[in-house]
Formats: sequence, C-alpha cells, structure tokens
Amino acid sequence: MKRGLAVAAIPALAFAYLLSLAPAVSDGAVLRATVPWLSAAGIDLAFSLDGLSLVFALLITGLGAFVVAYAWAYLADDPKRSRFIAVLLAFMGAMLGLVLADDVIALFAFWELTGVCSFLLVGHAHHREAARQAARQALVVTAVGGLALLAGLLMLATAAGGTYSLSAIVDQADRVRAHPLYVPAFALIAVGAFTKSAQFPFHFWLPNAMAAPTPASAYLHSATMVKAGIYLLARTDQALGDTAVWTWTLVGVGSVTMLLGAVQALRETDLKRVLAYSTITALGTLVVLLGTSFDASVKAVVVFVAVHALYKCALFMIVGIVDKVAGTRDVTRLTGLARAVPWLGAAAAIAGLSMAGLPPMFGFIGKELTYKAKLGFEAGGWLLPLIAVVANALTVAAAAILVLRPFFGRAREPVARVSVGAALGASPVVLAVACMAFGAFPHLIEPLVAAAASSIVGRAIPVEVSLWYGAGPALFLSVVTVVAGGASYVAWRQWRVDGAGARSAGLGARVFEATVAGVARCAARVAGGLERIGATGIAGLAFALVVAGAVAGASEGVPMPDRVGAVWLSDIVLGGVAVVGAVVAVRARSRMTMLVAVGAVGVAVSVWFVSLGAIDLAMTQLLVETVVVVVALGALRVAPRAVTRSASRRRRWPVVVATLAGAAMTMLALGIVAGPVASPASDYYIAASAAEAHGRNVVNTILVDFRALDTLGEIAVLVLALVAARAIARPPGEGRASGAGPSLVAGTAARAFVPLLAIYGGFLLVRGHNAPGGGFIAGLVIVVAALVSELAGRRAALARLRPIRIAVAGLGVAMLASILSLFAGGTYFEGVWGEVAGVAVGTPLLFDLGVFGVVVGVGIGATSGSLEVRTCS
Amino acid sequence: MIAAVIAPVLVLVGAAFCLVAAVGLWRMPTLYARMHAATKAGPVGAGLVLVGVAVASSDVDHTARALAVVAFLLATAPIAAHLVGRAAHRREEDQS
Repeated sequence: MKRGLAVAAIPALAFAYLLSLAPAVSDGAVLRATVPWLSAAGIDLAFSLDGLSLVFALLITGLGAFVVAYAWAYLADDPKRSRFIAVLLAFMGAMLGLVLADDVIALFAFWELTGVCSFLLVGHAHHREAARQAARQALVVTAVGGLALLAGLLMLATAAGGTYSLSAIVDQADRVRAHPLYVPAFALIAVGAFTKSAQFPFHFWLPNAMAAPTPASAYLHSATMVKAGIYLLARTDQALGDTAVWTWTLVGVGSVTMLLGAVQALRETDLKRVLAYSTITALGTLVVLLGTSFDASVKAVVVFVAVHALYKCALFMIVGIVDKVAGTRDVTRLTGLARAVPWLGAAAAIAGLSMAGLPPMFGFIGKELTYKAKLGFEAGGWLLPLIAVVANALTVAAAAILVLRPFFGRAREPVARVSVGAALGASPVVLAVACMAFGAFPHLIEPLVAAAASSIVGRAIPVEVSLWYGAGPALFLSVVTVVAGGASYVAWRQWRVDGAGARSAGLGARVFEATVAGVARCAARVAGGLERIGATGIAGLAFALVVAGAVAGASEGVPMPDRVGAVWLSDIVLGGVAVVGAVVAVRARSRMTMLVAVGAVGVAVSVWFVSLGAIDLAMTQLLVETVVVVVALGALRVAPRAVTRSASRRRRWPVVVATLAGAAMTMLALGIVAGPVASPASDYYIAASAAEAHGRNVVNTILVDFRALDTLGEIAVLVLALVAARAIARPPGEGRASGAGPSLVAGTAARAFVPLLAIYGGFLLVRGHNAPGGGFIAGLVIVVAALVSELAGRRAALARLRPIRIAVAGLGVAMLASILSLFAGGTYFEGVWGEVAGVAVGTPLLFDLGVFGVVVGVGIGATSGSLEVRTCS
Repeated sequence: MIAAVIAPVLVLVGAAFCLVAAVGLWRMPTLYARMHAATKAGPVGAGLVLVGVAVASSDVDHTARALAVVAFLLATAPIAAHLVGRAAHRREEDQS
C-alpha cells in the first residue's frame, strides 16, 4: 500500500505544481516552453499552458493520482500489476503532452501514444479472446481516426500559411476559414475527434473497451482519453468554428450520439456497459455544445467536462468494488449492497445524484448550464432542448439503475456486512465528496472556468458559476427531466426485470468485425494460393518478372560494352564449374546429388569472387553456402531420396524460365558494365571510408556507417522473421538423437574445433572495420560453429542457448549504438569516435557488434534442430 | 634454386593426386573404395599443392598460412571419412 501511495504521489505532485500555476493562468497568462525536435522541418515539441490546457491537465493529474492509488489496491493479486501501472503512467504522460502541445505534429504524436496505451490497457487480460478483440477494435478505430486527424492537421497548417504552431494557426482564423482546404481539413479533424470521443457512428468501440480492468475504464474511457476529441474541437474552435458546416456537423452528430447512448444505456445489464453508454451520451452533449460555440455553451463545456469526469470516475471505481464484493456486475442480480457496505452506498448515492443532475451536487450546475446554453442557441429552435431533455431524462434513469437498484433495492435474502479495504475505498469516496463540494462551493472553480472558456473563444468572457441561477426555463427543464427520468426508471424496472432484453452488437461493430473478417479471408485466400503454387512456382514467378522486365528494357535497346576486359583462365574454369554444377543439378535423379551440385555452383562463385578481389563477398557466400547445404541435408533426411520420373519431367518449365532469367541477368550485367565503370558513389565511399568512417574496409563501413539505417531495418526484419519462424516451427526440445548415438571421434574433434571457430569469428569481428570480416561474416562463422557442434552430436551444449534472446539483445545493442550520438550532441546514427590506447573506437563498431548478435541469434535459431529427424511414429 | 625446382614438382604431384582421386570417385565400385579415393584428394592432393606454395613463397606469412591449412586438412579429413564410413556401416547393419 505504501508503494501504491508513493506511485500515486507522482501525479499528485504534478497536480500540485499545476495548481500553483493556476492563479497566473487565471489572470490570462499563457506559459510556454519549447524543446527543439525536428527544427529543420519547423516542427518542435512546443508546449503552452492556457486556461483550457490547465483544466484538462488538472483533471488528468488529479484523477490520475486517485486512479493509480485505486489501481494499486484493485490489482493487488494481479502478477502484471507493475506493468499495468507503468502503462497507466505512460498514458498519463502522453495525455498531458496532448493537452499541452502547441505544435500540431507533436499533438498528433501524443494523440497516437494515448491510443497505444489504451490498446495495452484494454488488452491487459490478453489471455481472454474478448479482451484481445476489444483492444484491437479500439486501436483500429482510433488509429484510423488518428490518421485522418494527421491529414486534417497538415491541411490546417497549410491553410494557415505553413505554420505548425497551434497558437499561430488560431491567429490566422479568418484566413483558414476562407481557404479552399477548410472543409476537408475540418472534416478530417472531425473524424479524428469523433473516433477518439466515441461519436456516432464510431461509438461502438467504447462499450467493448470495458474489457479493460476497471481502473483503466475509470481513467481512460470516461475521464480523460475519450475527452481528447472534445479537447481537440475546443482547441480548434477559434480556427475552424463559427461556420455553418462546423455547427451543423457537430450539433447533428452530437445529438444522434446523445440519444443513442442514452437509449442503449437502458438496454444493458452490465454496470460497466451502462456507464460506457452514459459516457457516450455525455460526450455527445459536449460535442453539441461545442457545435453551438457561443459564450454560454463554452462555459457549459468546461464545467460539464469536470462534472462528468468526477462523477463518472467515482462511479466506475464503485462498480469495480461492487464487482469484487459481489462477484458480478449484472444489474439484475445485484441488490441491497448499501447494507453490506454502507459507506460505499453513500458514495454511490452522491455520485449518482451528481450524474442525475440533482442539487446540491456539482452535476446540477453542469446540467443547468447545459440547458441555458441550449435554450440560448436560437437557430436550434425547440429541437435541441427537447433532445437534451430526453437524453438527460434517460441519463437520470441510468443513474437510478446504477445506484438505486444495486445498492438500495430490496434484498431477497438478508445481506451480511462486507469489509472493503481503505486502500480500495478511499479514492471513490474522495471523488464523491468532491462532487458534492464543488456543488456547494462552485465559486472555487470560477476563475479556472473563466480562463478555460476564454481560451476557447479567444477573448475574456465573464463567468459566474453558482448553484442557483433563479427560476427560469432552465430550472423548468430540470424539473421535467427528473420527473421523466423517474418515470423511465419505473418503466425500465418493469421491462428489464420481467423480460430479459436481448443485446445485439450495434451496426458499427458489425460492419467493423465484418471488415476485419473480410481482410482475414482475403489474406487466407492469397496465402492458400501461394501455397498451391509452391516454392518452385513462386521462384518461377519472380524469375518470370525478371525476364519480363528485361524484355521491356530491351525494347529500348540493349547497351553493350564497347570492349570486354581481359578474360582470365580462372574465369573460364570457374564459370565452367558453375555451369557444369547447374546442369548436373537439373539432370540429377538423386536429391543428394542435386544438393552437392548446387553447392558446387556456390563454391565456384565464391572462388570467383576471391579471384576478383571481393573477399568480403566471397566469405559471406561461402558461409551461407555451407549453412544452406547443412540445413538442406537435414531436410533431405525426411524427403524421398530419389526424384520420380514425373517430377523430373515437371522440371522442364523451371529450366526454361531459369535459363531466360539467367540471360536477362547477363544482359543487365552487360548493361551496367557498358555504363561508366566507377560511379560517383563508389568513388565517394572509397575516399571517405578511412577519413570519415575510420575504417579501411569499405564494405564494412558502408554496412555499419554510411548505410547503417538500411542495415538496422534489415536486421530488425531478420529478428521478426526468427520470432515468427520459432513460433510456427518450434524445434523439438528433447528430441531423440538421430541414429544410434553420436560419434566419439566427431564429438572429440568438435571439442577442439568449435572453440577455434569461435575464436576465428571473434577475430573477424574485431578486424572487420579495416580488413575483410565484420559482424555479419563473424556471425555466420559462429553459426557454422554451432552447426558443427550439432553435427557432432553435441546438442546439449546448444540447448542452453536462447537464440531469440541473443538476436533481440543484438538488435538492442544496434539501436543503442544508433542513438548514443544524440547524447554527444550529434544527430541520429552519427558515428562518435574516440581513441582507446591508440585504437580508434566508435559507435559504428558497437553497431557492428549488434549486427553480429542478430546474425548469431537468427542463424542458430533458424538452423538448430534442422538436423533432427522428426519421426511420426 | 632448389625451391624453384621442388615447388612446381610438388604442385604438379598434388594436382595429379587430385585427378586420380576424381577418377577413383567416378570408377570405384563400392562406397568404401570411393570414400578412400575422395579422402586422398584433400590431405594429399591439396596438401601437396599447399606445401609447394609454402616452399615457393618467400613471404613467411604466406608460408605459415599454407602450412596451417595443411594442418587443418590433416586434422579434419579423417574425421569426415570416419563419419561417412560410420554412416555406411550403420546402414548395412540396419539392412541386414
């Protein structure tokens, strides 16, 4: 518990700090800070704190402290608690960044980070299919919205004259609204906001996200993340608002969302889903208010955001405790809990009254302001207030469902007292008390609301927050709401308790799932087709494309070198060996002969490379050839030994295609030789290798320095491929040794040669920057050493290796090497060099070490166990 | 002067052994006999060529490398022959 409080102190301290800034911000000051990021592109991590940002930041940190304390107790038995809390805190950072960012690109980055954190939190119980599916759905919907948002923000920046600064864009409001990109920019930004804030028709992900542990639902999916869309709309109101498109889009979508959420909330029986749909109603209300965007509605937005965050967070926490105490969240099975845990009943009653909007709770103020705003929007006529009354009446009924029945309903059997730990109970009680305190003393928040409302509309507006605005039309609507809500609740009790209402997935969710299933079916069909074509067919297709490309290129004339350089005897001999090997491979009846012949081609090519001075290439080729032959030998042990006559007849087409492809490649090579012999790039590399990259082996300096980013991408792909391959074909852990025991002679020899090979690998790694070698070749040598070990029957020595860990560690080292220069004041991937005992040492060498690790891990992981005979007895 | 005579002879003899081994691999009737022929190509054939290189080269570095390769050939070829023979023997046992 103490540790829980210590972690909760992090957001609490941030809250206290932000609160200390409140007086200055209330006076209209805007605090700014900028960290250079991609300054060359005009993008910086620019932050600004004005009234609007401050209200959101206070909610994020204040509620965050309570949620963390609550989550610590709530997940006391969960082995993944630390992970959960860590992601929660990461989310908090991202969300703070989102509401403080003054740069649209930074805002987008934080926006996506919140979505990723949400994905991880919803999928916390990832052993459950439902949680995984809900997590995926939430991620896809909000990420698609995020992409729309990015496009919209870029258009907005263009419309505002190319600035990425939000405050500068707002200053250009008139220019933006007159720009032809205004409508598409607004539409895309609105899609982003609507997906994040669960507006119709994207609302369906939010109820499903209730698969998240309750603390995450309380924090992300009611109080903070889903308000990001509201924040975005409020933030862009000045630049984009006040047009007919803005007003009617927001009012229309918001109204539909309000009604839909309110009706759907009554059809649910799971308390969390009831809460989720009532959240959708609240978000719809906020969108409508922003759509009308005049002084009264902006005030209402700010107050209602705080009101909703407080009561909804408290109610979620209470539902979480109910879940723990009663073992169910099914509203039809819960009654009389107030007798079991009286103080929880009191807290629930307060939060519920605030939700229903009854005095003297904070919620009453929020609802009064909302009604006043909607009555004041004359263009809406009587329709908006009517929709609001219906939605709010249903919300009153939902509050009654959440609180009245589970806590104060007549229990069928006597209820025993249940004790709930203070650690778990403290947070919701404090939040419930806050619901009441802000209702009783609303002037406490007056300056903050004024500052936030002013920063939305861009000019100072007077704000008076009070519990009693006098008897007027708004009060009349409130009375109507409560009466209608009570009546709805009575009707619901009849309908729900007597007849069970069936719940079906909404249209949006069905469309989404159908799309996902369709994509999966398409992928399966493509994969199935590729499987039927087979490896030969796929290779044939690739070669056929090469031929087609060559034919297309040849139509423009084939460039021919005007003279052929001297042909050496070695060229003829080696080329001859390769040709003979290829012919033998094609004509062979035995697979073993085929393999040996293909190996001969590889060796001939390697020696050819040596004769042309390409030592690095030759070493790589030879090592790869060795590994391939050994692995293929392992595969041959389970394949039929001889090739059947029909199979050899089927080889005719591949021979034709391969011959044509060979001709095409020859043409290509001749074409390249016909051009200038040395390109400016190779001249540059040769000149700069020793001077700039501190290495004389140009092949290596290109790999680890000049084109290191390419290498990083390639080794990342290798690691991913290894992880996938190990998952698909898990090598047998304790397989039976093939044959009748290992050979003593081979085993003894391996004891001597494997360490020698390992030392040789290390030697190649160390010298690689200046002489033939390097991480890639050295890694392959180690792989060969491992294969020798396995061939000699020393499997036990290899079994302890963890190839995936080695590969991932290598990737980690490579990535570390890429960013080390940042700490030395350089740019990403810039080599940092120093001298240790007279030897130049730099980050590219560390990067080479990472490459070495990846090759060792991937090589051993992909080949170990390939010599195992898998008998299906 | 002696090296100038000995080195080409060594290389030629080594190459001749390789040729004989290749013919043996092609003409010999049984696996054991073919194995016997093939194993000669490495240590004896290639080995003699390498010794010739070592003799001809005035560079200590090259001489040392050539001799190291001979050492590795001598150490590994018998093991390879042993493994092949062992596998063949095993299979005969299985079939009988």
